[in-house]
Amino acid sequence: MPSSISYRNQTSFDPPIGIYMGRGASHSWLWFVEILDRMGFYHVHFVDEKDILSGGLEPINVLLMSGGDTFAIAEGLGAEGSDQLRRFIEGGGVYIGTCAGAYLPLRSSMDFLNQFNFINVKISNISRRLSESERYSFKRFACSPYGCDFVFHVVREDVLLEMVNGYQKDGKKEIIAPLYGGPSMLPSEDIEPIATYKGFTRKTKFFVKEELAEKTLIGNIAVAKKSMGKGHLFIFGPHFEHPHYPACNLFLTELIRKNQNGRPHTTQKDFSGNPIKGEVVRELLKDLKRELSNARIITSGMSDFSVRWLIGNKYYEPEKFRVFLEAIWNRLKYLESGKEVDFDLKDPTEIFSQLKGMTHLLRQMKKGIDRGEATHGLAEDLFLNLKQVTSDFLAIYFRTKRMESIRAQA
Amino acid sequence: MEYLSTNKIAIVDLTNSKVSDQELDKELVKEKIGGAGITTALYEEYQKEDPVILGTGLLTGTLVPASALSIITAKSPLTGKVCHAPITLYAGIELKYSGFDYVVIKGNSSKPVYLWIHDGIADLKEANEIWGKDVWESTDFIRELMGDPLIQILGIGKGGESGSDFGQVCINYWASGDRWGFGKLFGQKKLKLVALRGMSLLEIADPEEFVRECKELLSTIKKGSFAGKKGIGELSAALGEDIRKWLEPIVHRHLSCFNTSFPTNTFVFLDEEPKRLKETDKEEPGFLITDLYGLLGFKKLGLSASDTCALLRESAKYGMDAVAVAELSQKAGKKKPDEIKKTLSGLKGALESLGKGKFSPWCPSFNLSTDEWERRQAVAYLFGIHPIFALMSPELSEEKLIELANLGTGLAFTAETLDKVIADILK
Repeated sequence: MPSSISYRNQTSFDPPIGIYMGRGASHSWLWFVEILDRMGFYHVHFVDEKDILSGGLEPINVLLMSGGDTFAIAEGLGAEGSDQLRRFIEGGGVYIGTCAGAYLPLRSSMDFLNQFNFINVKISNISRRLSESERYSFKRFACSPYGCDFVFHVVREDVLLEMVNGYQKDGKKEIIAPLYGGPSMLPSEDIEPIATYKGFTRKTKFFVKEELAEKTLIGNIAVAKKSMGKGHLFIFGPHFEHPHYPACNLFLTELIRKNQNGRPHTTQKDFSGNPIKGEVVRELLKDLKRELSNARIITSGMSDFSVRWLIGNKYYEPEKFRVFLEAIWNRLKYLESGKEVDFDLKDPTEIFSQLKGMTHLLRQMKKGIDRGEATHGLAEDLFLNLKQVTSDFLAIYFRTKRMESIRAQA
Repeated sequence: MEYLSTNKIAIVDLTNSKVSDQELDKELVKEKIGGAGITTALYEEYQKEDPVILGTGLLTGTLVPASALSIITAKSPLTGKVCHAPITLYAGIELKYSGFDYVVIKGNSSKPVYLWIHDGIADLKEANEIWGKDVWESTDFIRELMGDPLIQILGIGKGGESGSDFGQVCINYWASGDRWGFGKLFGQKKLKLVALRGMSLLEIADPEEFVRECKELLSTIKKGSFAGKKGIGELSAALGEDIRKWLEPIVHRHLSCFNTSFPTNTFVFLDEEPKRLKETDKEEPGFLITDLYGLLGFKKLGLSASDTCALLRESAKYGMDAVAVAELSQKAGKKKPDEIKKTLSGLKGALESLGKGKFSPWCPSFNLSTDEWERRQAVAYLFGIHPIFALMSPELSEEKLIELANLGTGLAFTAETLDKVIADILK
């Protein structure tokens, strides 16, 4: 595995990449968006469970599956989704899963998860490996139900990893990565370890005594590879896609770059070639900005609320909603600075209508919270809307960037 | 204009309900600096359409100590002159953060409207639901509607709506330094309020040096003569009219304007027992005194601190200049709170305390000569420095402000530029 990673040739090499943002995905798929954008990968598709079930993996070489609720992802995809994933990988596709996306293909007897079982590996952070007193210490926090057992988390934030089997980053064998509930895997012949948990840093936040954290993590596998047919699965316990960890980001994008042998690169263009120009695009973007600003302002008004909603198996706070809006906001300026935008929608005002609906939902939610009313249903609707509108916007953004990039190369 | 600026001017035509925007020309900044220099130029450009100009200072909303000020520039219905009123608290900086350095509001609307300025977008919206509401109700309405309690409001009450010469443009719930009757102009234009909110960022030409200089300046200022003093009572003492003992029993706490080291505003209890130990169940426990002369005006009538502050509150809700209410009540021999409250509707008369220059007499003179006071106010209104704090803090010298402006913008302002601009705006 080559160690040097650079930005060279990133723009000329642009494999089609899918980011899963469907059922069960939390907000961390936006971290993938951030690093792909930063590294010059613009050929990006956003896929949900319906896309996967209807052949949506066909045009892509790499599927990025980030954090969230593993059970909800598995339930959404079901057996048919599992078959689609298997065909995609065996046909030469690359599956990169972090956190929930890493748990998904691991062997399991649980409903829905048992339809995947792509990788025969056990994890160390499951309650059956704990003593009775240790189990008790997790009863109320840092764990997720898993049948009669639960998956537990011993630390949060930074962990020190050791690269193994010849993998390294810039000639160094150690790398620091953020862990937010991802798996710690036990050795297995079914996987090739890429990195193991080596230690902790000053930024590590312990949920339990350090001895138990060490017992659970140290020496176990943090990152692993499994080959299936012509393709590969890369499983990451820690979030290598977190944008505050550039060394991890580079390692991840290098993996993408170096594992493109099994599947032919699609040559189809993914932009319409008929971008909207001039005053029309300026007005559209202004409308979009107006609604986005209104929505951001409401989420700012909710920032002090000590409220959270359990959606699936994950808790969401108002701050998480803002992460989606900021992902759009931070890229809007780029589109405003250009002369053309590849909306490629039957109705270019559709995204504006979506945003308007979202602002309405946010206002209802804010009023509901102010009045002490239940807002769980609204939060669920809002979360779905946010994922949809954000991915729709980002699709426009990446199409426009790719269009400009290809034109520049021509 | 690249640095310390949003680079945008909004042009709001109330007559035909159209909003457009234009870039802020760097050459105009080089020539007029900012604040009152540019609002005056914009006023002259649009004067046929009876404009009200909102403007930020060159340094407004930055790390420069006391950079809290924006301004309203318009022709005063009271004096017939083009004058400037301060926008303080957190509304001054919100204008710049909301995405515009300047807003030109021209023409008259045929129906009640409000202007919603957010993140570089200026939207005119119907105000039928709030026309007729008092200042407090209108502020609550907009904040609830838009979903953020941090929205800053420049609005009028019944005073401005009814065309009173003393109608004031208030800031959120509180009295402002509008002593020019600009509330009447808003009312004539059928403009109920301007709501501001934004999360813009400002670029700095030389950020490291700018931040270093600002920190150093702040450190020097904190060692100044006012160190350890707080509130409107201290301002009164500095004027030789010490009201600290009179006010003290109802003082709750003091409040600074953005990044201003001295809190010039004081919260007082009004409807609750000040000594109660239980935490107040009201969001704000009474009233924020933002206008020293209004306070002194009612005190002169022999009223208690509580009655005085209650009348200040009524004036603010109605959107009236409390100084005018107090002075005209005194002239009419009205000294009882209920009698004075009734004068809010239909208040008329000539004021002795009327401002005579360009800058609002809301800011005390602190025994400076008129020329010294005016020059210092001009500097504050150009750079966006809190006008009262500018008088209290000699550390914020003209040389230092020019130096910071140059570091922040990358331009080359000089003492000569400043002299010329001040001469222009004082004409």
